[in-house]
Amino acid sequence: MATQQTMTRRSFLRATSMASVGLALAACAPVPVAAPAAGGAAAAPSTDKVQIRFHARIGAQEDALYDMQIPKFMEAHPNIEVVKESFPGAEYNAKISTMVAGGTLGDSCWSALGGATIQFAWSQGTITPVDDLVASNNVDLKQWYEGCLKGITVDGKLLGLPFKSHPGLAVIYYNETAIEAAGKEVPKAGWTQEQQVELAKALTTADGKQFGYLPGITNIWKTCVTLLRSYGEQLLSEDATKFQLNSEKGMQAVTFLYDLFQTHKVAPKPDQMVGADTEMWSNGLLGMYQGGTSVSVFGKTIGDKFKWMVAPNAIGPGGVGGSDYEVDAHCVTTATKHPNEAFEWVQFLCSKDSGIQLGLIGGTVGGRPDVYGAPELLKFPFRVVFKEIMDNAQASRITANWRQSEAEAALLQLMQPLWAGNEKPTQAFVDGVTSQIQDILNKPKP
Amino acid sequence: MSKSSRFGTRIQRLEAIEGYLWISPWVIGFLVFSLGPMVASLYLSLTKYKIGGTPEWIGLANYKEAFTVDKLFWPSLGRTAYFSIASVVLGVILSLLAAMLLNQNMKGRNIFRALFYLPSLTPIVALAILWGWLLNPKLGLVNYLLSMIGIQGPGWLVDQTWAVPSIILISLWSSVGGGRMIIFLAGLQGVPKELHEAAEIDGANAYHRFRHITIALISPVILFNVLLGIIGSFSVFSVAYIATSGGPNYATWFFMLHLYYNAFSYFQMGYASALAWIFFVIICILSYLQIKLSNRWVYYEFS
Repeated sequence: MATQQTMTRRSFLRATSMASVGLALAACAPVPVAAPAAGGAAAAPSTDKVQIRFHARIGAQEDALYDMQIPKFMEAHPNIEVVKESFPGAEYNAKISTMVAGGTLGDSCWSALGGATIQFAWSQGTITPVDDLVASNNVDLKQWYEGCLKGITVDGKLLGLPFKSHPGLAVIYYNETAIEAAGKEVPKAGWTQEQQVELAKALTTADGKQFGYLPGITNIWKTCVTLLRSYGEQLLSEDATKFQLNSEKGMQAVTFLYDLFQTHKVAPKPDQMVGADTEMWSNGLLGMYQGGTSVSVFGKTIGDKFKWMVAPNAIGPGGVGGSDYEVDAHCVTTATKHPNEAFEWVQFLCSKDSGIQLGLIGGTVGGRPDVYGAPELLKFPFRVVFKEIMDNAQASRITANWRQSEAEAALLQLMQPLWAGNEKPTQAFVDGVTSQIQDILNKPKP
Repeated sequence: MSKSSRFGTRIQRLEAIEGYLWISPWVIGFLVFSLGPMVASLYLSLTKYKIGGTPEWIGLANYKEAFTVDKLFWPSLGRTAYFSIASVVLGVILSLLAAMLLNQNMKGRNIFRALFYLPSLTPIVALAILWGWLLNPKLGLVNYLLSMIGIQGPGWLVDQTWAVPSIILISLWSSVGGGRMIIFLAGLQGVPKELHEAAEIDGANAYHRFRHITIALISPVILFNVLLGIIGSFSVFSVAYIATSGGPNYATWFFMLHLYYNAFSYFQMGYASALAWIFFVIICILSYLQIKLSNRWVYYEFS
């Protein structure tokens, strides 16, 4: 009897195990992704009501805009229903990748130049070029900054439309109240790095409660991009295959940064930080703070604690302050069955109206000259400065192998000993950093 | 009477089917959500795969890269081992001490047990943020208390030297009074009082009773806690990810962070799968060695 039962159990287990393992493996098998199509222009517009699922990165300003624009868009396009599916920024790429693998990707999605996100989405087969859609819809590309369009053009293909854009870490936020109290003049366009250091010294208090200037070291890659440009150098070579931090001018730029922390002692070292850098800025603990245009949203947090204003980066030996186009885009996915409708929605999000509304909500605005120059936005004095910087912004450069995130993460770690004072900016140290980043640049494309 | 066949009687067959049906949700769940992904990841570890597209077979190249090319692989493994040894040794000792304290007959014992257990219930994100502030070099409570006794506290999480000890400290705070202590407590309550009394009559002092009776009898519990501790501590991730992002200067770049960043920031899924399998093999070897070595020091009363 027992033998008979054992046989039954074995047979049963064998059959169910094989079936379940088969099921499990089938479930885990990657779903083939459609090869990036050459745009969906060939597909005829639907006559029935279609649903567009669009994926966005969660952001207070952006979500407010989407919630504002979706009803307006659906009213203007009664045959299209837009459904927003937004995900936290830190998990956005993983979520999109999971949807690609699971075959559940929607019709349009947010992407960005930052971290080579859009390049990766292209290589992954998530997004489709929009060149044909642009042509068939007679879209005038001159609406957007040329630098923005170049930033999201990969392998000669335009991968979306510029949604929002800013000129990188090219803005110095300053505490006007503190500067007045120190009896100094506020920074103006054309000011120099020597003047910046002097002002930072004047704004640094002996009790350690206020520091004169905090450069954007939490995103040291972007800081180095603009700073090296102010020295007449590029962080990446023209073909973006060589990391140039240890060049002669690169060394000068790194030394300038190091001196802010260790020689002039005007920047808070890691053990002198009180919370995040934006918290220090909005609590009046910094005289000057380097940021992108999005830092302006902290104006609401600052309230009437102190007066603040912005200036372009101080001019360095290279004759410029340094800037770098940063672009967010909205794209049409390869998975969509309704490319025309998805592109309608993309155009709507990248329109002048959306760009201005973004600015009125606060933070970074649309990547268009008519948005940066819109009277509704220019009534805010800081946006006048943003416009001047944006109109002259320098072109972006992304690592040729698109391993931008990896390189940025590594540089952030490797440079930390400088701010902490554990290392000095010797040629050997910077050579070591350069070599490790170069190793990443030497890897093949993902 | 039920008719018997080579599959047993009808009732036996029905009972067997019912039994399989009862366990089938777990079995199917295990096969689909655990075993299936594991087998899939083993295959992916032999490919170049970034999600989307077809995995490209590259044989053992990912493993070769980990062992010979990746400059962060060995340091992250060494760092994890350091964290693991320190946190398991200290954690097991402190949990045992806490359990012994709470095993005494004293007033308010249940309240103390609850108080010791509470930190382990703190969500990991809250824990990381809370300790981030407590260990803030400038405004943190820890350095403030140290300054009151004339000690200038270190930079803790932002200091290359102190970052891992800080993570160990945080880990101990949340784990000493947690499940490990409860298991020790249960083990201690299973030590017969008669043995202690007999040893006392024979002249054994408190240390000898502890060493030769308590420790001996709870040695299987110690082994269990050490095994789980090693596995758990090798998986250290959340606190380092939230509080330090692996910094400063890779000081808290543990193995799981390395795996995570490769998988979900750089999307090198094939390589990350290889890292996961290396991790799995390491854990298996460590567990095997511990069980093998346990023959020398673990006492099973009923073996």
